[in-house]
Parts: sequence; C-alpha cells; structure tokens
Amino acid sequence: MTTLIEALPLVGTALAAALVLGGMHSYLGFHIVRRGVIFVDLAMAQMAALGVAAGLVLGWGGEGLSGYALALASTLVGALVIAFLRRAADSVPLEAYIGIVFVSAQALAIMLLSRTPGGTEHLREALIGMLLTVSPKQLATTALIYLVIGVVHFLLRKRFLLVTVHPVESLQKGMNLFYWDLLFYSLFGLVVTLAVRMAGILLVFGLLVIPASAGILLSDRTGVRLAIGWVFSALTTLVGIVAALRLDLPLAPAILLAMTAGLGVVGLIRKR
Amino acid sequence: MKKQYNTLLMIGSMTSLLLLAVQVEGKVRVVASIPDLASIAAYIGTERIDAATIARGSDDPHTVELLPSHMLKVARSDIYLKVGLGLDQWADGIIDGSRNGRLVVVDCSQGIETLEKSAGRVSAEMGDVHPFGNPHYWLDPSRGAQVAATIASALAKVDPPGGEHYFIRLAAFQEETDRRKVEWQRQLLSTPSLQLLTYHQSWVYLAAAFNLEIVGVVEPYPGIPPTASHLEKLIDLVTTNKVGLLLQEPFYPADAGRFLARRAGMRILIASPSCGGISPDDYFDHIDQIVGGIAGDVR
Repeated sequence: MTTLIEALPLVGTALAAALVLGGMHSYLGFHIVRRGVIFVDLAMAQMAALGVAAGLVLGWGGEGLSGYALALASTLVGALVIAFLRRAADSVPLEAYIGIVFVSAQALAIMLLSRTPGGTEHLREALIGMLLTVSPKQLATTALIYLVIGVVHFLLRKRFLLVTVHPVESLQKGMNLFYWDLLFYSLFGLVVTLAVRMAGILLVFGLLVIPASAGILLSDRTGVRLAIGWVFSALTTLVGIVAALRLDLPLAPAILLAMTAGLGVVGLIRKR
Repeated sequence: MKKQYNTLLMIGSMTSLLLLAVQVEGKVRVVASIPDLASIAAYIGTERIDAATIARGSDDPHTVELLPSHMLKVARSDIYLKVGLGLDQWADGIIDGSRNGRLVVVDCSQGIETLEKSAGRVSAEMGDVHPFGNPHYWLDPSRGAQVAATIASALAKVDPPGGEHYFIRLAAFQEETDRRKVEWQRQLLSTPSLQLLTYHQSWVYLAAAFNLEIVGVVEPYPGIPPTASHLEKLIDLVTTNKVGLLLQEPFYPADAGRFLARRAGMRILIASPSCGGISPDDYFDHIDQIVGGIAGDVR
C-alpha cells in the first residue's frame, strides 16, 4: 500500500490525461456508436498515426508543431474521405469502406516506417501510446483544445444529435449532410490526433466505444447515457491505473482491460 | 487459522526489519539504464551502494516498455546512469516523470571517444538512430574503465565520505581491466580468422578492442530489417571472405541469421550486448563469455 501512495503522484499527469481523454471521448463515442460507424475512430486514429509516421520519415518527428500538423492533415484527409463515403455507401455498407481506410493507412504506415530506424518501435508506440510519461504541458494543450471543441459541440449539440440519430429527418430539414459530417469528422479527427500521441490507438478506441456502450446499455435517455459514460470512464480509468501500479503493468493496456471488465459488469447488472 | 496468522506476523516483522536495515545503512541508490552500467557501479560502490537497472539483460536497450515500477525506482534514487548518445532516450521520460528533484543524472558517454559505423554505408538521407556516434561503447573494456571513472566521480560527489573507497575500487577496476584484456587477447591469438558478421551495429567497440573485423551487418541500416537483395549481397561477401561467424543479439528476429547460416554455412553466436539475461550478471564475465564464444567459433 505504501508503494501505491508513493506511486500515485508519479502517475498524476497520466491519470489527469486519461480523465480528460475519457471525458471527451465518451461523449463523441456516443455519436459514433449511434451512427453505427464503430471503426471510424480506428480508421481516424490510424490516419493520425500515418501522419506521425510520415513526419518521422521526413525528420519532423517529436513533439514539434510540424509533427502534429502532418498528423492533423492526414486525419483531415481521412475525415473528408469518410464524409464523402457516407454518400457513396449504399449497397456496400459504410463500415466496409471505413475498414478499407483503416487497413490501407496501416499498410502505408508500415511501408513508410520500414525505411525508418526503429520503425517497429514507432508502430508499437502508436498502438499503446506513452501515457505514463505524458508531460503536463502536453496535457494542458490537449485539454485547452478539447475545451474549444467541447464548446463548439455544445453550441451545435441539437443539430449534431439530429444528424447522428435521425439523418433522414435532418435531410428533410434541409441540412447538408456532407458538410455536417465533414465538420463532425474534422473535429473528431482533431480530438483523435491529440489523443493518439498520448494514449495510443488501442486506448483511444476503447475510450470512445466502451463508456458509450455502457451508457446505452443502462439507459434510454441521451443525457443519462452521457452521464453514465463519463462516470464509467472515470471509474474504470482509476481502477486500471491502480491495477497497473499494484501489478506493475503498462498503463494504457491496463486501463483498456479495466474498461472491458467494467462493461462486463454493466452487462450483468443491467435491467432485462 | 491461528498458525497462519502467526506466520503472517512473522513474515511481516521480518520484512519490516529488513526495510529498517536498508534504511539504517543509508546506501547510495543508483539506477542505470542498462545492467552493464549497474554492474560497473556495483563494482565501484560495493556495499556502499544499491545498484539497479531499468532494462534487463534480455531487453533490447533501444526500446524499453515503461512500467510504473521504473518511475518508482527512479523516484527513490540518488543517481541515474544514462548510456547517452541517443540509445536510451526512453530514460528521459522516466527521469522527468519520477519528479525526483535531488536526482543526479550522469551521462556515462561523457568523455568517450565514439566510433562511427564500421561499414560506413549509412547515408544521411536514410536517417541514423545515433547521430552522435555508435552508443554501444561499454563493450570495449578500456572504455568500460572510463565509464567506471565517471561513475566513481559521481558517487564521490553524492557520498563524499565514501570518496576514498570509490577511488580505491576504481583502481581495482582498471587493474582488472588490464589483466583481463591480456587474457582475452591471448585467447583470440589462437583464432585463425577474426572476421565476422553481426546482426546490428552493437559490436563495433568490441571489434575495435580486439581487432575483430566486421565484414558486414545483416541490418542494411541500423534498426531496419534486411531485404532480400541485401541478404544475397551478404552471402556473396561471406563466401568470398570465408566468414565463419554471425554475432546476433537475442532480441532481433532469428530468421535472417538462420537463412544465412543455411546458405553460407555460418555459425551463429547468440550474444547479448548487455550483461544479465542469457549472459552472466557481471560486466567482466559477460565480455569473457562473448570473447570465449568468438574464440571458440571463428575457425
């Protein structure tokens, strides 16, 4: 126990980072799960990682702005492609195209990194992130940008919800689905780009999908679902970090598995 | 039930006694990036210090999975020994994250004359893992003695009462280095061919110390797995020069080495650049094992 108390301050930044990510992601995850485009964030996260890989090949790696810019540009290309594909998808489901974006981005990243020293290391880092050593500055920047995105989402919440939950109705109201999707996926891409650098593709995916699923399982009302998602992600993050400290495990995978276990518990206790 | 409780109590009091003992002794706590630096520090510090390592002997020192316990170790330490030259960049994350204000960080590459890649085929546009020179300098025993001097000074600064002890031990280290080097060179004298192939550029300092000739490297560029055409070139090289040995690190894929061994009839010596793991825990014994392996295999 002394170890735990001694160790908690060391993971303070990581814990705060996971909570900030969890807050934003369980909200966006609600949209993603309701849209039924579960793998869109894997695809977007992979596009961000592809941008990072390209930056490394060009020698722009590291914490610099140029590294982020390339990751963001790559993610925005992904947003454009996916917003466009929503219109194109009829006989082939959108999810299939999203899968294709994911595997192609992954293949391209592997190809780029095969020419870079320590390429496999970067591929692994893209998967599991570097949550344990997140710097306070990096966390502050991310939190600030998330705040701005959160405000945009709050101001436009009714229309974003309409596009997500009742796309046909929003078309009847004369909304241009392509532009709304583009805006949604661009903001989403920005969130994912920042998150992947810290938490890695695996945890980013988990934070998006698992708390939102828990909320949807436990309630029918949007507000309650969101609240459950936030509480769920905060609690499971805490459990994951404590488990990682006690058992000396890598942080991101431990949090992810704590969330999965938490969802199992939710599944058991939910009303039939 | 009661018996169990008693046993627990006993274990509990024994542990606290042990903890107390450690605290009373007030040892200088040293954490190193790799076991080799920890082993050298332990030689210099003996019972005055506690030397621990982050990467284990079986780990690839270029990439280390960061765990909470690493931060904790460093948070409680007095001195951190870095390899430097870009090898253990991951250490910076641990050092910053440990928030240990009194930690003395020692870059053990200071004052070391570095070597470039022996093959000299690394072009600038391909990037280079280690722009300041090859970081595997501890595999040359003379440079190891230089590292020992750096560590002795750092220990003396942190623990002035032990200063004399550390410099006596440093002299012993230098003496043992000289003695062992003569032994190792004698061992290699009877080896007809000193040409070899290595998987990664981990061995340039070892080669320089013992006049070994690295005729080729399986990785076309540091950290990049071999392509088919590069392997074909290596087979030509090995057959024309009659190279008999491939020195391979245990943490890199073995298939390329096996392919070369099959096609060109080479022998593979699996050797770790770090002590511990598959090697002895002691710095000198580790080099002894590698030299012995080369002397036995190159013929």
